[in-house]
Amino acid sequence: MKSSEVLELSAAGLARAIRAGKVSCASAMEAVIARAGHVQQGLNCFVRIDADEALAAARLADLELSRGIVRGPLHGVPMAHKDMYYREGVPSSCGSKITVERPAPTTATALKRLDAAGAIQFGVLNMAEFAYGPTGHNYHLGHCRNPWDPERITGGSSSGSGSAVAARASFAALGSDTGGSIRAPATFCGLSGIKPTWSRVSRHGAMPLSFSMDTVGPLTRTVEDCAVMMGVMAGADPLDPTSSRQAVPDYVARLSRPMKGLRIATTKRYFHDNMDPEIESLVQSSLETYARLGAQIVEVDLPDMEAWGHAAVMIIAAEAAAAHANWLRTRPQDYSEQVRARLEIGLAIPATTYLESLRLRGVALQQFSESVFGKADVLHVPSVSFQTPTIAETDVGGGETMMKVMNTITRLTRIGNYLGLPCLSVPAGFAKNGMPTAVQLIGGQFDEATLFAAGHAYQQATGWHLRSPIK
Amino acid sequence: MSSKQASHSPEGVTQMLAVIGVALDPARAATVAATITTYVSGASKAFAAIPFETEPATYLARSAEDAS
Repeated sequence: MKSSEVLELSAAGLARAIRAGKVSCASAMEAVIARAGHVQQGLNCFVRIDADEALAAARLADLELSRGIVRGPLHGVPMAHKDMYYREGVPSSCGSKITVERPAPTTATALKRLDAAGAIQFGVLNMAEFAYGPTGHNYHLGHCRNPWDPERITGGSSSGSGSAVAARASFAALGSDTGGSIRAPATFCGLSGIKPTWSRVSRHGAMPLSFSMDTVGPLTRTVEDCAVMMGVMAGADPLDPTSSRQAVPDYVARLSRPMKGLRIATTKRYFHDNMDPEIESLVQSSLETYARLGAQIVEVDLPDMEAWGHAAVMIIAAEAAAAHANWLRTRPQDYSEQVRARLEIGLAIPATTYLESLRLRGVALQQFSESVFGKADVLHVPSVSFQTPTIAETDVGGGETMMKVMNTITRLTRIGNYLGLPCLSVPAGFAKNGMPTAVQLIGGQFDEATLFAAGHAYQQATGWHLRSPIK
Repeated sequence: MSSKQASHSPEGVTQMLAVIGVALDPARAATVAATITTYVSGASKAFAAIPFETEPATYLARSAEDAS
């Protein structure tokens, strides 16, 4: 295969091609490193590329294959990850000036499991400073740029993950999602991305932002890739006592679940407030596709969720501020203006408001579940309500409009974090300006399998996910 | 103005952060205070729905899993 054809393969597709002997691990690695080097100047999506080590690992993977050894479902697949997944002894920037000075104290469980499945990490990716920004701006590493239009935001905080995977400069990437940090870049960069059920994937060795909202998940070109990676990463981990002991289903085997009989909920409340008409039209088209596939469309009435969105902000702000309090005291000058300003807000939230916001979560989850999952299997809503803004339009620093911009971008995504539910973002078409948008499928606790089946069926029917920004 | 809002005046926030050793730039004090007031009052509207015995659902999914 030509390298340009190899780079268009999904992660699962490349793994199949490698196992079939159509592509060598080394040639796939050479192709993706060359692409990464080619796009880096324009997109600034990489923090570091470890070419020599990765090529050596790829050659070893080829040698193993020649001896009949297949490490796992991702044998030989090159990946780069958000620069907040630790490898012991190696500094992770976390998008900051601070942690880059410090060797990581441990190796992330998610990385260990991807390693064991045969994936080969070849670099680390740009991200919002300390994962605390939804746009893709980074004043230390430089702003990350969207391959569909470099003047427009990638979304964040997993900005490099979105940009690199869309640019065919990585076959998949880890992101993290505390208020929308996987789904925003997936939406703006035209990718699939899953925010799993809270506790489904170990957070050990992942930079903390908000311990009761943080989730680990992938950004990929297909829903099938999300299913493969989640199958590898999900499950109990003694190093993260909050990780779930619930059995992990075979997500890939369940991808072919028929849509006939699946109940998909839609709602007019909250998620459709102040929608851009063009985005609204694409979201409705997506729903019509599901109806054509045989799904039963059910309208549901949601509780008033505006306060839940505020409570989510309170929890993230308070927990992030607590994590950063020592550095805010000793080296405040090393934060960008925006991140410092947001962390300062968290320091002054009343303890009772933080705790009431946490106490409300169970009540909110019960109300939401009764409203949605009493009648349907999946809730179908937009990921964002607006067209992709430019980097300049969202360059608001730490000033008065900062929180308005931040919270507009995460308004539809942070609800999923607050409720702890799995949310899959799936490309749902393109606006007239050529920018992708997405729908969000929200499932019941630990029901990622149903989301993957629904997302996969949609991708078989539409093909939006196959479009590439690389000409 | 409620007591919570009053405690989040620019001066109040600046003093509170000083107590814990963080120097708040006076130019940002008003923004910090206004933002906290907005979100605290916004979230508080739903707190009346919380039953008295409810404990914080820090580990939301795990709590539900253990209960099932």
